[in-house]
Amino acid sequence: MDFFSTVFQWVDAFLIAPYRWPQYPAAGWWLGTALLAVWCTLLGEFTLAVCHRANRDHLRRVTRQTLEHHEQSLNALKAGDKEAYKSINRLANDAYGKTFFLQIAMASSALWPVALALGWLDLRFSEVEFTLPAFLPLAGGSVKYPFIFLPLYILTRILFSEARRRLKTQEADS
Amino acid sequence: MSRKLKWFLCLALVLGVFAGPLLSATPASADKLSDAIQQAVQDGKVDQKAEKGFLGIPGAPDVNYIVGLLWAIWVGWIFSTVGAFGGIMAGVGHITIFGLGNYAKSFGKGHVLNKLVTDSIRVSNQWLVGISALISSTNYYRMGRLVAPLGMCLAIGGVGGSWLIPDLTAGKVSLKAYIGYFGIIVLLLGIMLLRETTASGQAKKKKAKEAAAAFEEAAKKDSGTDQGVKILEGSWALMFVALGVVVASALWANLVDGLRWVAYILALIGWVLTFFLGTIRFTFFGVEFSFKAFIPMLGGIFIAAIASFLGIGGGFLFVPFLTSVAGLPMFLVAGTSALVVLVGMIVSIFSYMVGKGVPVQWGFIGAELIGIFIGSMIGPRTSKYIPDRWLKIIFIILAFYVGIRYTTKGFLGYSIVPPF
Repeated sequence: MDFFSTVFQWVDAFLIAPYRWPQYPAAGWWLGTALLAVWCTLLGEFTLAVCHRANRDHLRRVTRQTLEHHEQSLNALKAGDKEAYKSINRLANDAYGKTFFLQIAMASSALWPVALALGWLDLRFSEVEFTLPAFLPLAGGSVKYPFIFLPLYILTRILFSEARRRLKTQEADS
Repeated sequence: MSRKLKWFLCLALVLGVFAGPLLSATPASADKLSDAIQQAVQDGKVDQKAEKGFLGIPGAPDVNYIVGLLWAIWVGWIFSTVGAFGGIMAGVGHITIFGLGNYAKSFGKGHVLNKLVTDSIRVSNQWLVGISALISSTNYYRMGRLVAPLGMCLAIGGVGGSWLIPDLTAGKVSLKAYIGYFGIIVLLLGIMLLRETTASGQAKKKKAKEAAAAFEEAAKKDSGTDQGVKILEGSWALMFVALGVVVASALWANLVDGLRWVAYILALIGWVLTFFLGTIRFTFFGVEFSFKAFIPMLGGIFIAAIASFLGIGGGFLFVPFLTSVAGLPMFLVAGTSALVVLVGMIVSIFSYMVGKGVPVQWGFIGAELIGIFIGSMIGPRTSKYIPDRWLKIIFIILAFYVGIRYTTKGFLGYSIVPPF
């Protein structure tokens, strides 16, 4: 068995375990999926922190350059020099492009677990449909795993940021 | 948004999800992919006993996750050094590197599985773009750099464009044509990059740097100005009506079977109404700006149509359009266009995945995101050893190569550059 199959089997066993803890399968589904959302949030936050730490100096440098050009362009406009405004705005645009795409690439460090979780859910639960109490336009009479996992993940992210904010406030107060 | 409202929305979301589905599981019914596979088996194009590959299709190429990861590291590196070209490279990976292009073509023009694989490639690109736009929009919302009327005017055009194009083309465009159009966009990007490296482009840049230096002191002196966005003039009521009508057109197109012409007319009414919105004026950093409402609307239609059709974000078209044509400051254009890209991508992904049942290979997108994240850490460490101009020249050559190859392959049936 190759390395990846071994890792996958281990991860699969780890993730599926909470689904089997409760006796009632539906309760297992909610528990397992909620824990999966928690793992995705924690793992994503960890790799995001690593990425930010690694790129901190570079990110600061490109952001500062963008801000400088932006302020220069607006000052040119205030001074009534439209020509200078346009050309500096273009410089600001170039600098911003770099910052923007760097941040985009870095942001993937927070979200990769979600896509992998969806892939795993697809392997495990693609055959399962959850019947809706009423017919919903587009969704029809039933929904599949993303309909439940994605809102749970969003909720976990919101709760996580709220908890972090409170911890920071407490730290600042003490 | 107030904290109470935030909590209410979260609660509503969770309740909706928990109370909605009944806690029971039933076997899945045949979906669009299963139907397409059955059709291909009947046509003798798929051997049902073959090993399952991409999207679980028997005999399809088994997309190598290691190759996907390595390609994504390259994409992440581009994102963190050059910028916009990363999205294009992600598309090149989906079409060529992972062998999906040739596989889809093997079914022949018009075959249902060809269309499904093509749409899946589009949606895979859109997921990567949509995630990027979500993150940048959140950042800009926090920074208070979103101009609501600008976003609304772009969205009036963009929402219509992003449902209308998938509606008119999904399942109707073969991979061959898709590759051709993709090639044209890459060529366009190559030309845009080339203009920046010519002698006149460099001279312009030098002049701009001199001008920037001249206004450097002023920037330091004047930092106490009001830095927020303040709307001075704009017909909000009519703007909401126009946006409402366009959203209604998207809903009609997705929810109602038949009577497609109603959706087309609604989109058209929304767009026409924008011409009556007149000029929108606002101040930013204490400086007054104005734009004709129909300009971002027209840009929104055009760019969202291209973006949605090709599964790219369109950010590389939005930003130059709004800074050059509408003359708006970079910060406002960037933040607001990220929001519009996000709205467009949500509508488009929704139309493809829910409305048309197009499947996506999630595990593969996950591997790509890991690669992009690794690449984004390598980029800043290597870029200082490569001059900016050289980086641009490398990507111009790459853009022309990819553009010519895809355009000729798509429209002529063969590539005029190697490998033929």
